[in-house]
Amino acid sequence: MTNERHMTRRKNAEPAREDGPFRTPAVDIRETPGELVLLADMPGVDDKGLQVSIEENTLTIVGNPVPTLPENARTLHAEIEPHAFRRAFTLSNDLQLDAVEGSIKHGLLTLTLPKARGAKVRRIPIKSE
Amino acid sequence: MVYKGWLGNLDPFGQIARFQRDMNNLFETHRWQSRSARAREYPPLNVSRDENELIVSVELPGMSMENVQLSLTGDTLSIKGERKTMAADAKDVAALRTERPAGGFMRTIELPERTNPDKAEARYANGVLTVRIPKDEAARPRRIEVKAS
Repeated sequence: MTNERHMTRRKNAEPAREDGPFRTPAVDIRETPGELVLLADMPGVDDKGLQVSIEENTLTIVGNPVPTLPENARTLHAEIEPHAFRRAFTLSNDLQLDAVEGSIKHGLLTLTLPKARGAKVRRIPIKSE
Repeated sequence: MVYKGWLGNLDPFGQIARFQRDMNNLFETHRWQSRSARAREYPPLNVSRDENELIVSVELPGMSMENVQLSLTGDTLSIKGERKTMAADAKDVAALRTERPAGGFMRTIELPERTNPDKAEARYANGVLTVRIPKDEAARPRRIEVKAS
């Protein structure tokens, strides 16, 4: 799913465990005439724990949550998977990959991917009987 | 489980049991897979404890705490609110994918210990709401001396 070779354009230096289990963040993708907007739920992740990288046409988002429990706490009931977040996407060629911007607030990552100027939109006529 | 019978020291089931255990360990997430059949409640939360308090951690990313109501009794914790997401039906906006839960939610959990809700504190950081509730002093176990006669 992800490219394990060089990660270019790293946002943060902290690596997540490449071999370990991970959680898949829920994602909303919206499209406006000028850009794609990706929203990913990564509760517990701040900007130090976030890595966004793009290699060729693959976008990978990784989030390492900040631990909130004191050292000696014991968990009685767990619904939250104790793993880092990771998800990869294949991007279309119509996007300006070097103009991607992102920010994370309250554990919600917002990524803006502008479309290339002059991206062609072909309308396909649909015939029906 | 060791099968000892006419096969002597050979343990045909031991191998299978070991293999199964190894496969389970390989896929650490097996605990979570067993839960997928049940409907998951929203928002997901953990309940932990340390010496003095219960700690409830609730995942609610991208929310404004104005839309959340948290209430406590000595035995239960209730959380109610509404999660609004970016309007997908705004003009010129197409929703290509919608996975993030949106809408109203309400959840009540029973706390595993008696607590003192007046002293509870709640904090929202990085999308996680952490509620710390001190345990009820009066409910602490007391040592009872046993007199020998």
